[in-house]
Amino acid sequence: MSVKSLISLTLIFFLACGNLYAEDSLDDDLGGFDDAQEIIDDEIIKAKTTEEKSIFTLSGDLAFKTSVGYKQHNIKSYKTNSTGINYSGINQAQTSIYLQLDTKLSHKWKVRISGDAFYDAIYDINSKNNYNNDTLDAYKTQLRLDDTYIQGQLTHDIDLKLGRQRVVWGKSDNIRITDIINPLDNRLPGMTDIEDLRLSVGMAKLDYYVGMWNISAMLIVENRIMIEAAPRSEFFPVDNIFSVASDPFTKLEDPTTSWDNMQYALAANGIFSGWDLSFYAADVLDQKWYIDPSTLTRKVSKIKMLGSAINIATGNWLLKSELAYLNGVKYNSTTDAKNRLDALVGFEYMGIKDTVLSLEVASRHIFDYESQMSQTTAKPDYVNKNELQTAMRVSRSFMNETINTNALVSLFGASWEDGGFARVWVEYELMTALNANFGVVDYIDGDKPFTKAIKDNDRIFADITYSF
Amino acid sequence: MIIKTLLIISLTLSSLFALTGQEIAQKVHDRDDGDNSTSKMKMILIDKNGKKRVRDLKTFTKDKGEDKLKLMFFLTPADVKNTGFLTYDYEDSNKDDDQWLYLPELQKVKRIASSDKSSSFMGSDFTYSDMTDRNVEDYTYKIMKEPTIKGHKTWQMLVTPKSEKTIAETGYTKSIVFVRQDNFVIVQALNYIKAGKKLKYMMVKELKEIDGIWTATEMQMVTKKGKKTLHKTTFKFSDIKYNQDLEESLFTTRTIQKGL
Repeated sequence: MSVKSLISLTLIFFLACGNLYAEDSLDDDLGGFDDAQEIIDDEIIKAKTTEEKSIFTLSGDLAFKTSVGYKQHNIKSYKTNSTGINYSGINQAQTSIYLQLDTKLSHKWKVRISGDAFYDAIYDINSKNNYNNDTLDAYKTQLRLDDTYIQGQLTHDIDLKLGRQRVVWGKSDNIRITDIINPLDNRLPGMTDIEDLRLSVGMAKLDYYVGMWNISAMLIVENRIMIEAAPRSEFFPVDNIFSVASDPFTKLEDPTTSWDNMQYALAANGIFSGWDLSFYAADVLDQKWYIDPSTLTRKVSKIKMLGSAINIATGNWLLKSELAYLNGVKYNSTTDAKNRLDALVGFEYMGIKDTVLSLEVASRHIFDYESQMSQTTAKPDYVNKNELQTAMRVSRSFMNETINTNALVSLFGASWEDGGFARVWVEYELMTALNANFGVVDYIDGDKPFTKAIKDNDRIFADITYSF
Repeated sequence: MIIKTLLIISLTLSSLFALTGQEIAQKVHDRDDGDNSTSKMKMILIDKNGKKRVRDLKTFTKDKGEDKLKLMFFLTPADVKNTGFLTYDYEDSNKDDDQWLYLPELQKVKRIASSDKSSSFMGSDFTYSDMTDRNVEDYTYKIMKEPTIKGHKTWQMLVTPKSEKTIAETGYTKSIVFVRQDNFVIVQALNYIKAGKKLKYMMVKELKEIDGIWTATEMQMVTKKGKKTLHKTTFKFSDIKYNQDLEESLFTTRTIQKGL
């Protein structure tokens, strides 16, 4: 037998073996159909889908939240208090309930009434701490009316929504540029879930749908403003921030509700194949307070805004941009109001399985900037002519969305020198409608007194929520 | 001699009239799958330890020419109730589908940009690509056998993506599908996952003819690695109705925002 024949025979042998192996492997794979059979409980399959026949539906959440500060830090609770309260260790033990009642009046009209309440036992457990009243008011208990409205269809093309509601403007998720309709809950910066961040406001909202466009007009009658961290609490140590002021500006005044103070907003939202475009105009309360030179209290003034936002979907990328021109923004250290141009660019990338990556960068430019606006004065602003903010977020789900992991970093400054925060958290679905959440937040030190003042507020946190 | 001649003629004719894999795939694609339909869907997710999670959805679909409009609302559990999902599934494979998600907690309609459809559909073992029609031209087809499954003759076909782009989009390197010969319904499919040497077994557990349209009323997808089952999902459909009076205006972000 020649060498050539021997090689040929060997090749044929290996090819035949390979073919046999491939067939065996395929049979093995196909055999998986037999043992993949699963008999699902009849009870589960037959269980009626709960599409309520009743006109009333009551739903809600019951939650327990806790957090532990792991850095030793003391905050003065009173001007005269020399040592202050130590906020390290367990600093939250909050039980909360959210209730929502939905009523379907007809095929076209429905009503929602919702509210929430919480009680944080830590303030009684640590009752020896001399918390000030502002802190107890802000963090110990709450009873609040949330979304409460009647919503319906006036004609085939026109919808009306009357009552306390939330309106989301813009395309970005982590930085707010054009999203200025609802005030924010800023009591725990970096900690508040985005769904709890916006506060409902009373308004009449009329939506007209024409082709690919939705024109939305709002008359906002309730002058509700942001909820800030209480002065001389962990997140607002006013004596450190306003170190030069003779008496820090603890009072935040609610604006009066009157015809003169009415807020208006108009939006046009176009939805097209692969992209969305929105235009906004608003005459609303600002998202930030200023110090009134005559009363030396903190107030919120009205601003005018013209803005636009765009989304473009291309492949696995969602590109987004927003632009807002603000007129009449009041600052602490200047006598006249300023105009500001806010711009944002960002993207989301969804090309990795079960993962979303996002990056947003925003710039805020103040026109007619005055040098004292960045300096430490009696009424400081600590703002630069151009302010930059960056937010990066990664979300990934595991085990068929039983576990969702998230990381969010938000930093201020061109080279992130002004600090910010980083938050990492894991949500775990313990069972249907029962979710646990565990995470850590790190407040990153920076050049700005606002971030410097809370740099030691780092904490681990956990909560468990039952939805019904 | 006559018998031999007849046999040869019959074999020749049958081979002439036999369908190719491509033709079978086209017939699967072109099969009437109904229009203007509504249904309820129960999604049962079971992990490797047998822990079950159940979700209920209401679905609406409408054909717009060759494109398909789909609308879904979560009815339960409470933590995802009223979440809405809207898809414009375009027939043209060069055009990305439009997808929007409404998250009631955020009260925001969010556009989803994902030509990669290999991610899990709402936590199930089905991927977004499993939930949309595959483009016939993107694959090659080879008939392997003609086995009988549950008393019905099928074609067992090897389906291989023609390009890396299709593999990246679906997450599957190849599939073996079983197509019933009497109605062109895929009753079983074995999908080879690109990452992690995992296999996915799709089985139609219940098939009914509703208003003349063959409809899978129960289907299961099982993810396995070797012999080990990692996770499984059952979709159970009920109250399936075709030819409902669904206006195109129903399939808009206005609807997912307002809810059912």
